[in-house]
Amino acid sequence: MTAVLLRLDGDRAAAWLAPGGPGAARLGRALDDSRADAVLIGAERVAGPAEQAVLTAPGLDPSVVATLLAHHTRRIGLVVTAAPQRDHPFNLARRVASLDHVSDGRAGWLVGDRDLRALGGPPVWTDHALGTATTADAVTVVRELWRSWPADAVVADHRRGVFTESHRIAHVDHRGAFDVAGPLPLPEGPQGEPVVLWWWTGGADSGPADAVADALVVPGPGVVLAPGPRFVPVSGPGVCPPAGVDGVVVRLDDLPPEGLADRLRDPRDAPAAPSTTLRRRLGLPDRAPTPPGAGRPFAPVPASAAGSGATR
Amino acid sequence: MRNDQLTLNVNVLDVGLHLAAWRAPDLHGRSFLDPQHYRRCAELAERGALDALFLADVPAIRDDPRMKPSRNLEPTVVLGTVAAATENLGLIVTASTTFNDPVELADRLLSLDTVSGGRLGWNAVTTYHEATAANFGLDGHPDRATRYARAGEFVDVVRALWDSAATGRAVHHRGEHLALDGLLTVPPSAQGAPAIVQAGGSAWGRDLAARSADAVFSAELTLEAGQRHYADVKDRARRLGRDPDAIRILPGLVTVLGGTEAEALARHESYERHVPAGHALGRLGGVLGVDLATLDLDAPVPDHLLDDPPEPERFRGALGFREAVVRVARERRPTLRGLLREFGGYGHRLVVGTPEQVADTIADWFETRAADGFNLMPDALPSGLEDFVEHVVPLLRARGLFRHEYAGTTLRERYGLAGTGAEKGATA
Repeated sequence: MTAVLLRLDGDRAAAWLAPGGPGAARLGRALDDSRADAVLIGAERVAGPAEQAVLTAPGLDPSVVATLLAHHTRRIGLVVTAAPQRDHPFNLARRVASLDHVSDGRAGWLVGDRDLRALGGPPVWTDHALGTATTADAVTVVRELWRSWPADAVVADHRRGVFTESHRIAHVDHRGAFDVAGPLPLPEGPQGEPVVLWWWTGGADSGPADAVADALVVPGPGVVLAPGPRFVPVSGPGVCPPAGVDGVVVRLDDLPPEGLADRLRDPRDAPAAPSTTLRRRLGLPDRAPTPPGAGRPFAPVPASAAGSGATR
Repeated sequence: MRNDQLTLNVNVLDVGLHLAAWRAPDLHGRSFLDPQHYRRCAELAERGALDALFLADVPAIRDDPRMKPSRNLEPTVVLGTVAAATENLGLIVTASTTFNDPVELADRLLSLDTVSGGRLGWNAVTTYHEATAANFGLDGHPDRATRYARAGEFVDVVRALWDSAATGRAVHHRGEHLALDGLLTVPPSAQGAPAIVQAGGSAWGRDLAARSADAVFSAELTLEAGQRHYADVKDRARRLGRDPDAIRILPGLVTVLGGTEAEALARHESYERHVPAGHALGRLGGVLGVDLATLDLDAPVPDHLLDDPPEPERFRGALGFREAVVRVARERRPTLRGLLREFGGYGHRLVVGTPEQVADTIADWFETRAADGFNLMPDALPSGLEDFVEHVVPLLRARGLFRHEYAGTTLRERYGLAGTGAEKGATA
């Protein structure tokens, strides 16, 4: 089945959510009812080619929009757009992972090489130039951070007096365009790792993006399909994807949000899936588990496996 | 004119201030990650017409995760879901001026302010936690003077960027720590821009507060020290030409409530008995920057350990917390055991008692100008907040010190409100 990703640009988000707009509850309902798989929030920030009218119109920070929608939706995936330009990968990793917790595993990150909104300028946290290599390094370290604190290390064991088995948390000690020691101060979320989509503008050889991202948004048909899914932006109600891609990106402003489902989905499609993680919804594989002892432990293994639990 | 109504925020420290709060029977092991937990706290705060829900933060693991949760979820994400579930409650987010970019942060905070209907406050901190620097590729933690110099510039730039969203005129800044050209395009917020809160207790922090803050979070353990800190910040503001009443001084207050004193003590003990031996001593030693483990518990702390650090700009801890403890130790000369009891292991004032006793101490600090209100830190959440809202808030209302319902929708309006007839109806 073809995946459908809605594109909610900053100007549309602002029109819905700023004072006087229809509000987050109505937008959330329309998005869930649309039966689309995910909404790409603030995609104009990385989507080439740049569209000045959208980029200079009033907009809202994508992660803020996503957190409101987390409260007002139950099904649709919530994908936050950000470039590693002004946002440090550590902060980004923590925000998207937090979104994964508050949305029950529906979080994703749409990355691109640079932020095309007025938030441009030189990269703040690295001497490396913006571009494919720097973006790939940011994605790599973010994904390492997402694996730094295993979910089941939180045991809240009253008898042993252990809240988290802290020796199972590991530093990432990443060196690259970004040097990050880690760990993330947050256990893994419901989908292990949020989904990473890369809005690819780098030409025919998308190898660097394929190596680190879960899926790519590519400019048009004709791109080799391997190894991850690819999504193409399409226009208007003709949402049928060209051959060789796995889904489409539809701009929300091309369609009135209410009644979207009828246009986006073949009525013969299966009914809207019950609540599930974004990773499963897009048919992406779960990540391979991190082998134990892979990183420098955050804390030493306690002397007694049963926990010394000295209390007074 | 001084606002004659208390400001009361609740500081939602995950599942409560106490080290063992995660054991509370109304919680599950993952409550600290559950948006429903934070929404429940917010709904209680809104039921009590509290001013705001406050979230502290450090972008690193701060407290030992083996013992407890510690500020794990990113606070703008939590406040976004809280904003969606509430209508009037103020939302105060902590964000570091050392480990954020001003343009990105200004954009994110103004967006949250706009979509919440003008309810956001920003607690601008410089972050004194050592291990954080390594998460951001910095070799050593920047010293205090550098952090505060950057912080001053950072806060000014963020405010200029917020203005740019309204005026459409770009900011062009070339300073010692920051250089940028930026223009925000966020739609206007109902309060213009987020309120600014400051939490540093050092001289640098107090200057920053006096210059730019709408509210100050402080840590004072005694009434006398609270009054001095209060007067000091207001004086600094006056000298800078600001109206001293335009800054709200809000010390932290740890509450442990019970229907009777015995019940409160029993509740406290039910958590305290899980605290490992030596934990409070370690925390106090950390605050003072000295090792206390070898000292006699039944003698006062030796004077030389209380002297100012020889190079305050190099002292690694938080100077505000240190000064609060040193004042108590010098003025009352308690034994180390007594000092530990007073300190409570947390650095903020701890009151264990009945709703009447808690209301008395709040009124006392307010009326004698040690505080304009408090940053409440219930021992365990949501139960400690529910008890406060159900039992302490009505007493404060009966004394005419606290609103019965919200007046004004934005956080700035709430902090700046002079007492109105509607709000004073309490004495009836």
